Amino acid sequence: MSSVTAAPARRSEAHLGNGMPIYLDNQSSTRLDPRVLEAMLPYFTEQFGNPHSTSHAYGRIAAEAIEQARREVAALINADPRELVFTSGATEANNLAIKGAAHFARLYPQGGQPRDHIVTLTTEHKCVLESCLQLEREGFSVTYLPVESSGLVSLDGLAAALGERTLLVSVMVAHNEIGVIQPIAEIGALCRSKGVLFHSDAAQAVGKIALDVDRMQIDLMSISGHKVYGPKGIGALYVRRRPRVRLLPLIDGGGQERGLRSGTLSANRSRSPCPWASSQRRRRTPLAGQPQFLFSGNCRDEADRGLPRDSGVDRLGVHFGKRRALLCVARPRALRGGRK
Amino acid sequence: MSKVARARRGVMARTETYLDWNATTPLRPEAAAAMSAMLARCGNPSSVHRWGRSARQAVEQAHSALGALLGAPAEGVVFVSGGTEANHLALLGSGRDRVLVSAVEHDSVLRAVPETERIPVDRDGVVVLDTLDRLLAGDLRPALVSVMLANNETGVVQPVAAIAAIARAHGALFHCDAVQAAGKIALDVDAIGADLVTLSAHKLGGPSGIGALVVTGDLELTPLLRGGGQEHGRRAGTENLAGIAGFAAAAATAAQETAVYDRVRALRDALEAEVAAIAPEAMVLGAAAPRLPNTAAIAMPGVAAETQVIALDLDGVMVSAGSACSSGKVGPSHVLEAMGVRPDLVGSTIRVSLGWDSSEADIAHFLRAWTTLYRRCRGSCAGARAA
Repeated sequence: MSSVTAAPARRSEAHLGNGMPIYLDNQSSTRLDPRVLEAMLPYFTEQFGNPHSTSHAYGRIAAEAIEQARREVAALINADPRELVFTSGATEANNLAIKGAAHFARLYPQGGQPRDHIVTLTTEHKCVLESCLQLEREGFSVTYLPVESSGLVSLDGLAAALGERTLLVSVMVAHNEIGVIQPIAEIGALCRSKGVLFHSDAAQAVGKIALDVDRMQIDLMSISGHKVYGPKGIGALYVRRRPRVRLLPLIDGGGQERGLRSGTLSANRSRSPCPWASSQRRRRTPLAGQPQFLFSGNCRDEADRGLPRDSGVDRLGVHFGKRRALLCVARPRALRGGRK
Repeated sequence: MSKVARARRGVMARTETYLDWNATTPLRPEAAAAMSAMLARCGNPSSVHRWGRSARQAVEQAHSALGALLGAPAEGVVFVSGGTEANHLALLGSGRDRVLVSAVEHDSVLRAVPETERIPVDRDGVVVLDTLDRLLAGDLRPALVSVMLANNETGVVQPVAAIAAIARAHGALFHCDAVQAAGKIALDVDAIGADLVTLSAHKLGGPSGIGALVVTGDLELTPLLRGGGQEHGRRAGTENLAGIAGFAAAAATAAQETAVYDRVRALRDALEAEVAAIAPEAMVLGAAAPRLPNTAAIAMPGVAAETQVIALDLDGVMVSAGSACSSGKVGPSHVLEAMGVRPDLVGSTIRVSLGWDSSEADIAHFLRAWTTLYRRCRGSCAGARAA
């Protein structure tokens, strides 16, 4: 419980017990970190140049801001800055990764064997599942693997699903609804050994647990800004350079982002994940104790059911009859009761 | 430009003059205020709790506000990540077998679908209506015609109402990329007559990273991004709340302030007249056609556009050579080539674009720098010719 007293430093005490709502939906969206806003503000006003107008000073300032952001986000996941493509969010990143890899493989088949098979989980985010459904309509085949009662994929089941035609495996790092963390490094090793691309939707995991694209052998990884105390409307796709992962762009035009994602980049938005990036370590510790604290009363048994989770995940799978029951638990009064 | 730029003495000691407003504009204070308010709030518009509902309400308000400004239904406004994505959604999402685009479109239209048929433009940069009519009559497959309202490099305004009428007569859809025109001239989607209209916030004083595709009828669009079914199923992804709020605020201010462009037009015309007086061989491209009030494409024969842009930048004047696309892109302008401009002029044309904040001092600064460059180059060019 000692971590509990340390935790509410950022959470105003005014929120506790005076009828103000308590926000326990950080998996859906987070509040912008004031340091992030501070980093964004200059690009709202004075430094407004188009980052692609590099022939003049304003454009170069904006371009440098974006490259700085790229370096900081890359450092967070142990990637080369050149491996990051800024997008409008994780939905676009997921669409680009899955459709982009599939469309490239169809247009430029490598070797003799066409690769037109994709493996994912039934529990993935809708934008992954919808992208796969669209590819099925286009003639690709997709295997939707079920998960075990723990919410985790069976590695044996995954290995069995991989065939000679398998192009890509898409498995999220941490689940948006129940917070379970998949065995990413093991999946990465399996995919690499079979020559299959590995995409992981890390929108819910970045910032909450340490991620290393090299150690985990991830080829493509989606990141969202607003899940990590940044603004809505910005995200990124990590695209491995060695060995090179090739994609067809979803959005063509001016050829920004190494041709993978055209459109004028937003310096203020791209800039924004960074202060957070450098402060993630500080942030992870206080978050660790919170869920146990919140659910320590009537829900402790549920919370301790043993779902595999990292200490940094700030949400637990709590099994109620109906999902909406969770909203009731989050009422101030209930929370106060729990605190006692 | 502008008090803002001049206040920033850190980067360059001398005055800075921003005349690249077609590339991007500074954020309007109204937009900044709306964004700051939104950034201070938390909540995903798709969440059912009160913060989620409040965020949803903000998104709906922006839909209504932008729809009302444009004379379009609120549910017809699809917020996307910018003009490039809107153009893609229009061309790819409409699912038409044939896509006809004008030869002077932005790259994001030209490259959105693998195969397009090009509608030529005349010497003034205006779409040749007879050819469009003939192209549509010659092939009966369902078609989409995409022609921009105003060109980003020359400012030439297309006869979109006539184009819409021709498209409609042949049962074709009409998409209009209004990114450069919005905010500079009065905009009414009914008057344009288009089925689909593209807008971008950062060209009218809103933030970058947000734009809209306006769908005027009940057209079915195949989404580009699939997932949570946001924007009436036309564009998945958590809504960019601050961007949307900033866009709506900037658009509202721009709509109130279109009269400022009478002053901008006078400044632009004075600039062109001065250039003609200083250098008789200099040319303004597209000048014979109706144009945006803020854009001047000026050729200084014999001097590479890149040289001009860099020299002007050293003097503190920011302009561009053609459009501001991906970094380091060098190549002749497809817009000027399509107009049949002589190759040597294509390579020596710069784009000077003004904004609501441009002043007489900005024009004077540009003319000083431009004249210095012209006199210096004329000497060396004349010398080269003599040798």
